[in-house]
Amino acid sequence: MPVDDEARVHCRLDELLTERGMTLARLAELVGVTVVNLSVLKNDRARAIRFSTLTAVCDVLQCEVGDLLVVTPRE
Amino acid sequence: MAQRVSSSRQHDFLLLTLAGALTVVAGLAGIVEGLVRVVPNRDVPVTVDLADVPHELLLDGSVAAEATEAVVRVSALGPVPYMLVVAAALLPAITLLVVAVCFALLGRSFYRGDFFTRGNLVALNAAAAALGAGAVVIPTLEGTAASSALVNAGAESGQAMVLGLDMTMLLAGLLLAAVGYAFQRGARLKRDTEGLV
Repeated sequence: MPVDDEARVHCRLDELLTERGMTLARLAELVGVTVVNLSVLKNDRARAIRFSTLTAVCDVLQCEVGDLLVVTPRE
Repeated sequence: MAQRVSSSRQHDFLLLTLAGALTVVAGLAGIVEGLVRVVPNRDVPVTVDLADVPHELLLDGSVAAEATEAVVRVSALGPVPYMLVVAAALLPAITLLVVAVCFALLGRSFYRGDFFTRGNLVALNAAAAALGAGAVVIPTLEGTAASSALVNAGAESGQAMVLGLDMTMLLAGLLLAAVGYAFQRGARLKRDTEGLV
């Protein structure tokens, strides 16, 4: 995958958390991932995500993968 | 990114750093000692290998022994033989110094929790290269220096250049090179997993 394409994946974790009135710390607790790692994901600084993390986040937030991650169009 | 290191491990890495630093001092002392031994160009001790023609000796008139090495003192060596003798006297200490500096840097880096870094990779490869090169260059220089010193002193040795190989040093160098390769793979793995959540 070209390096530039990594920056095109946007994580909507912030929006999903706001909609559900949940904090990042609480999500970290429920998912079993550190706040630091979730913060990396939330701020679009993650370059890869484990399937286990993805499914756990989606399970807790009761959403689909497509609700969490979106690919922004090329400029 | 630095990794968390347990206090017992930190203790080990601190010991490695200190051992490296002490060996650096020993290497520097070795360089000074080597210089004192061969400068000035008068009564310079040159070790000559007698393995091809071992000499029978009687120690204390009763104990039989065999001399396989002799120290010949030569003066007013020509420029080339003298440079060879100086290089042969200094190179082991310089090699030790390079390896010790690398180990001290590795110990310091490990102590800080930095493992698969470019600096550590360079230090390991430098130590491996120093040992690998030293394994060939040191015995070759020592043999050639002894040969040319003998020629200069009027005793024909018959060989202008004596090739040598220190197998122990070579194996140590190869071992470090293998560890360096593992570090290179580790550094790549670390790079691949950076940003993985």
